[in-house]
Amino acid sequence: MKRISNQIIAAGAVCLAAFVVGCSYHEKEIPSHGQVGVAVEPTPISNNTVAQAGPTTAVSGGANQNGVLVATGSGVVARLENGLEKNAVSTAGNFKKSLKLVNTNLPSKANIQNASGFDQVQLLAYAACSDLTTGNNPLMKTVYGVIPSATIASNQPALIAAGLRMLDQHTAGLASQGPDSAAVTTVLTNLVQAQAAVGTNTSKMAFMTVCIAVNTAGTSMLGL
Amino acid sequence: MTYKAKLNWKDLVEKRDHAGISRRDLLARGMATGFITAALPPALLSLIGGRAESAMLTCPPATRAAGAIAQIYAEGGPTMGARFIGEDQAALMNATVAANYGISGTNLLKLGSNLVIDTTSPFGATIMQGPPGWVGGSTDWQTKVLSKISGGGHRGPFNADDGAGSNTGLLGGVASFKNTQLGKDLQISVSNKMANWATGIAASSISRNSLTPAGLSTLFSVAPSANGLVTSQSMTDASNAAIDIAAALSNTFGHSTRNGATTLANSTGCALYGNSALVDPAFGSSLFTATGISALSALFTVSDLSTAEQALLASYYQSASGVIGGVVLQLGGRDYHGQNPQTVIAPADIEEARAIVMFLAACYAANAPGSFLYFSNGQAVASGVQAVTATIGNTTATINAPVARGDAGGSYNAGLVIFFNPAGPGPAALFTGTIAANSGNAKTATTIQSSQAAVSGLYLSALKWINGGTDPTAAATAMNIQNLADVMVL
Amino acid sequence: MSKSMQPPTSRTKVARMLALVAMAWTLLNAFSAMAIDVPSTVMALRLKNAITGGLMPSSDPLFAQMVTLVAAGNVKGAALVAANSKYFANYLARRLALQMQSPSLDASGMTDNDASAFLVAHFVGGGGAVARISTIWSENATYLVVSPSTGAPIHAADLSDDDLATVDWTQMVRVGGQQDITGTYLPVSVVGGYTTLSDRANDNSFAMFGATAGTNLRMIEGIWQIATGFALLDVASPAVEVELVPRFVPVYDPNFFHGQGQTACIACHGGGMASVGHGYATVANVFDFTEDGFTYIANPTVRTMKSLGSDPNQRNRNLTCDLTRTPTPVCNPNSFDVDSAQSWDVAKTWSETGVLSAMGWKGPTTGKGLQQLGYAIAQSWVVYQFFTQRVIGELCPLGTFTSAEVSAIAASANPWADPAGTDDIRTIVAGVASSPGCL
Repeated sequence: MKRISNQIIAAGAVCLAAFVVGCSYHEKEIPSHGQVGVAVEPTPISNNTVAQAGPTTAVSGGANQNGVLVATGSGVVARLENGLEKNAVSTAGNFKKSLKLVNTNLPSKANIQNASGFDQVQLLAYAACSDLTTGNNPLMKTVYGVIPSATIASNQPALIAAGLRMLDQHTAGLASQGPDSAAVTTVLTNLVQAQAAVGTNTSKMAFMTVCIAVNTAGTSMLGL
Repeated sequence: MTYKAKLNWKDLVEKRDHAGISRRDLLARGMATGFITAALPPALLSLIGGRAESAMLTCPPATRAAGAIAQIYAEGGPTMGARFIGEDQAALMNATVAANYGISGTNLLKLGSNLVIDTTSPFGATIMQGPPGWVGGSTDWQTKVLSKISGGGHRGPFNADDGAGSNTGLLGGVASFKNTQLGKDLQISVSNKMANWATGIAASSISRNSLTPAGLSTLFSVAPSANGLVTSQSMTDASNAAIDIAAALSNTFGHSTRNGATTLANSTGCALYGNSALVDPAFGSSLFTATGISALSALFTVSDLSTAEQALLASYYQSASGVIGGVVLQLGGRDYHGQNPQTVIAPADIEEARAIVMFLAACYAANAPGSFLYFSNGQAVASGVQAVTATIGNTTATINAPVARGDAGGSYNAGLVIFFNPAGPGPAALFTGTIAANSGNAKTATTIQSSQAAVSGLYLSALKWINGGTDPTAAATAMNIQNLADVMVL
Repeated sequence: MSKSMQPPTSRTKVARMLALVAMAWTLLNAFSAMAIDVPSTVMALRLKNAITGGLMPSSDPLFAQMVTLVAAGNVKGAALVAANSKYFANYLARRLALQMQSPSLDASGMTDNDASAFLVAHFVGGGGAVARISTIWSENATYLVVSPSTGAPIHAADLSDDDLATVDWTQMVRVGGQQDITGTYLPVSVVGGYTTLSDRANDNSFAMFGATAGTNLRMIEGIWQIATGFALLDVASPAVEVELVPRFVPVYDPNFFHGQGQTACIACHGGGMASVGHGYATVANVFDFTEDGFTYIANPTVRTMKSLGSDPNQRNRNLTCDLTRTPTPVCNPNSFDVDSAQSWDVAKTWSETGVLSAMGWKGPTTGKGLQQLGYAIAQSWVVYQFFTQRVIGELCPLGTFTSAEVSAIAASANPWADPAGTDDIRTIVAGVASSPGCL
């Protein structure tokens, strides 16, 4: 199988160098491979107003003027990374492995009426969160202050703070500073306490639960 | 029952006969059929005051309703006459019709109540042979399984040629309309456009290249392993918390005045619950390793199937058992007119028939009703048959393959549905449209306005059959079908 | 009693009161300084997430800029900040580009290739070229992306998974000309902008979709569908001469002239996108996509001519099309077949049936070759209207727009309009995003 490689790459490298110097591709004459249509700047056609356009359909998403939006594909991945402040990235660790498995099943449509795959968002969040728990000095401790060896009860403030911090990344601070911050804090408090109530749960597991919850919500459930 | 009861998938397995709440229970309690409601805890409700209504989720109950639904979408347009036909077509069979249909026309056999095949066609021979090592042989297979099928379809409207028919919404799904444990369909290599009503249906997708027991096990599992990270309960807790957080912030983000907010809450929230089951590392493999499913291996030699067939068999079995919704398989390479009958056409037709054999075997093993749908975006008229030697499973046979000549969906095309009744015989079902006696060409019934309506009608028929004969009104509403009788074949 | 245990003096009490008041005042001011502008932040969040997919972190200074602009009432300005960022290029521009590799307009499963890179460059500018919608189907160039790991210009399909996560799609290199898989430069007249770009087999490019096997009907149909948003049946008409139906369509099919419960063959194949005169001649016999990749056929022979059918073994029979033979060849003996000069005439049928009006067609109605056709297509209003509809579908699919609003936004980007639009899809993005019916 042949591939165009050497010629065009070499040409590309020359062009890159030339670009740095400042060449222009707005040529009007025809160089070696013909550039008709290239940068032949369009010119307005006299009297070509919008009245000349054909019909186009109106858009109406429902009874309200505005609607919700759903994160898709690479947007889901980026939001998870941003939610975790790039402490876990899609090019490494469990995040990378999981992405390989779930990538084709992530939501692919921005319209909630046509979208599916939200279960896969949670699975990806799970994998990304797990990258914060690995190693002898895991990021759950060094970044979020949740000590794996301590009890869930003693970690409660840090766990709640971690959840708020992650959710703040998704909401530009509205989780902790917005009008519903008290309700959000209550949800996180109840969640942490429920984990503490199960004797076999560890702080690592409680951290995972908080991390999965806030990043799943922040990535795909807020309608943004 | 609120969703937040502490169930895990093992509860459902162990209590299989009384899995969760049945539809009868819901009706008896006066709740909306098919749904249960999840509500916020009272403390949070009071905190967010009047936003309680926006916090309500309505999720289909995670209960296993037995009954398999599957679809093949044959992309490109194979020779449709060489599959199942109706008794009326068999009755008027002549040399011209047989040639157009790509069958011999002289080896017709009625299966079950009303379906006819040519036993020497690649498709027919495969159906007749059954699964490998079936206890009692193919005769037993025909007696115990093939006698319990019937079928129907809408003839005519599936477009003149594959180009016009491509991406016109000839694929569907059932996860929203069928109670299952995981609440999703399985889509295999689905890339063509879904029917409008099916575009948001929850589904897990896998490519045909990855369709193996291991591939499906991985699809239905979590990575990394949950050990020390989560339990089924903590995953459920995380799901509930995510829903609660979204509800708590719904005021900030103005959900009450935004289109799609309710769908957002339901779709994103309800989708999460199936993940709790995936936490168990044995979950996926236990479901999709066909050789390990005793109900199947007791009937035939599952290990003699290819790995793809084993995966398909297990998928159909889990659909029949109510674990997953439907199984939708897109097969390419069916635009095979002008291709070699031995090396291209016969293997393609055999592959499809093998899938139907897997489906019927799965339904029989699960002792569950089944509906199998078949659509294509075109069809190839044939110019007779050619004797070829083909391999069906591990058996070599001389069969009559269609000599597919050219795109001609206007001659004979149809959307088909095959019903299986474990208690036999199959239900009385219709074929719509009329057949020209001289050519076998089909004319669409006036009640079928479009191929999309035909797809909807056949899916509704499929749901009706596995629902014990009850009209699926919720599904009909979702499909925007007002007059069910116009489009259904049951 | 020790001094420390003596009751406070009145002076001490006042001092303590003042200290408390000062502390409360400080705290109050601090709280006000930290108080978040909720409505502006929410709007900026919507803009950021819609336009950049969420790639832009809220910690990016650009986001703070957006909040400030929204607070000042300049939502469009805030939208432009997002649209002019690398995040837009990496997300929405790329998504729109991947969608355009097939008429399903679905990016799922699509992989980056030369065609999608070309489109991104036309959406955000690249390699010294400005953003330009009008030459998407005609520019004779190839765009390479700068590898984030080596700094060298490479084909988009050569980006590794790690590179894809960090590549900046606003940094591209433009090279004149387009080559097929053998390294042959395509003659200018057959260049179709992104539709004729492919550097390897299995690259999921439009060329792969359109020119693999078959008759290349998909190629011209795909160009029309993707550019205009029209479906095949939207522009079909049976009121056309049988000579304009390609040779491989069987004239004796019972549905050829009059459909029985379906559209007549002649309506699409003669009067529609698949007609010999509506552009099929520009692609039928000059392109193929084999297991090796995209190939330009400089000198077609009967055996290579897809206009004679998909089966090479039947093309001679279809060329002669003797319907008395047995078996009957699948063909139309009356067909003109495609013009070797690749002529097209979109006025035929489409002028009478109103299709050209519906498209807002302003370019020439006749021409030769794919490049002229592609350039003419992009002079029609429908291209800009359809891009507007697609952007709405990405940013606010459940919003509200009148058709006049859609057309007005399209006009703002239509460079052929009077007054001239910007030829820049980011204008459409900002216009949609800042519309009251959107976010």
